Amino acid sequence: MNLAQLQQAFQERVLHGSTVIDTVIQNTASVDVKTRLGIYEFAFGARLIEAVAKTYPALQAVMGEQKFARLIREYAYHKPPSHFSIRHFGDDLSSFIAEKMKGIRATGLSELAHWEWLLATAFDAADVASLTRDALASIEPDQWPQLRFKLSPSFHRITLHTNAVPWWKAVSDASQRPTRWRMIRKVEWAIWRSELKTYFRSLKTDEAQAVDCVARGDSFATLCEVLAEYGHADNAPLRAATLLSQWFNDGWIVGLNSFI
Amino acid sequence: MEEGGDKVKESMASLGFGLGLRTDHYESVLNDHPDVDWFEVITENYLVPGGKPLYYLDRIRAHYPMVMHGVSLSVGSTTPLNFDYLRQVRQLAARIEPEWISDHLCWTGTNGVNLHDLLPLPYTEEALRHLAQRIQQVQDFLGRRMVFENVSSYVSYSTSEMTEWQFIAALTAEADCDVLLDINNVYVSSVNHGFDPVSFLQGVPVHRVRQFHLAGHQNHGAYIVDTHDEPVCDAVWKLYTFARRHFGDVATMIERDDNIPPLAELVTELDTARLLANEVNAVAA
Repeated sequence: MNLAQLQQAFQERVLHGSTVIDTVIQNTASVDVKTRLGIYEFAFGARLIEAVAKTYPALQAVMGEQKFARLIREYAYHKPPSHFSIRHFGDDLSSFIAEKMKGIRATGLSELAHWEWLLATAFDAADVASLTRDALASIEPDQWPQLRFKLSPSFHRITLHTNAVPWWKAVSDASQRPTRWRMIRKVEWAIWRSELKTYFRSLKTDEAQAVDCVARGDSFATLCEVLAEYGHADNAPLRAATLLSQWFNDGWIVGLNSFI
Repeated sequence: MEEGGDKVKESMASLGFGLGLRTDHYESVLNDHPDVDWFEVITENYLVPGGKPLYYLDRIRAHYPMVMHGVSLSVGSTTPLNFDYLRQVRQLAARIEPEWISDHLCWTGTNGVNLHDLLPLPYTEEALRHLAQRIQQVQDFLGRRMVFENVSSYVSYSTSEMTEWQFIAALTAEADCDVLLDINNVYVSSVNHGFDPVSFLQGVPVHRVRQFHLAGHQNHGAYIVDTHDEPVCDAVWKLYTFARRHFGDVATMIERDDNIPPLAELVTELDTARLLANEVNAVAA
């Protein structure tokens, strides 16, 4: 068995229980091969569960430690970690839950996982200084239609269809949890970090559409067109200005388009 | 090559006594400026775009020397090196200017998988050649001599052709790299595989040893698991005393990764290392 074959066999033991590697492991009277390899197998699962629990504390609390551990072991079986940082191992957990589990509770758990993943992503997103509204002072009126805005790297949008956020809040505050998972009328959310603190707030439909438009890199003119479609046919520029003012206050805007 | 190594060692004063920097202690370090000579940081924890990890790293670096300690280089893997990872390591090194960069003599996965464990290598000529070539690639890319740590292990391979310490000695000469000698790992592996830990220490080239690690473990009777969740045990302190006599003034640090106590408790534990080192120095004088 050469080095590459040995490593593949060892990895298969840890991931899927294959016993090919056992033949080249030295047995001793005091500790047999199964026990020795079992230390690695146990450590693999335990380490991943511990790491994922740090990213998904509410998901673990809602599911319970045992069910959460089973979920992570199954996730690792199907999607072995590949990134050099263990922190990234759970990046697809929300989709995995949606794929593997059925029902309202599963939808809720998947959304809760997605929510927690975005919070974690905002936590260590790149540090980019936010602009203030003063940045707009130098914009000439004829430049406004083409004006584009760059959002903070920590800014994320999520649309939730369940009461995942009340579940998350209840765990975070150690308060009364909802009595059950429910489908709700969809709620649009923004998650971002300002300085070292992570924030979130719900958005009205027009604001959600508007900020999605900005995130796509669309111009102020397009932003106004979108707002006109969402109830502001008569006052789209005014509504856009109000929203932009709020976004500057929230620290979402970190740049204006480069032609200025 | 060995003479060159000696010259390098002589030109560098030991960093003294350090601790592993852990998130639980960020505020204490900044507020109390504990009596710690330097901090070792886990490289991967800071390979992030921004936010709290880098905020605290920069502020603590302003007060303390640092060394970078990686866990995902996977230098022993037969899968090609991850140069995206290495680029980020190089950027972090440019940011915090560490005294040195270390990782482990191990592999962590193959064919695109990272098992996030420090897996043992067979001590064969094939592995030796493979590692030496990879270490040279890494050193060329990072533009510096690397430091590699012996890992705790629970299996040994029937295909091995030499002892771990013979492997390390040959590798340092072949790859021109230095050694982070983890005294606890030597002890753990000695129990798990039934070798004499002193023979291990005596087999590692003195001039290559740049740093010592000390840590605690879980003793299961027939075997020991390296957990870093307990204070350093008496047997490891005894081995450390021997190591100080044998290797001299080598930068020493305590690792604690689980069941983490208040910082002051670890600083007190570090004082034990200082005390033992002073005793060794006094006898030598």
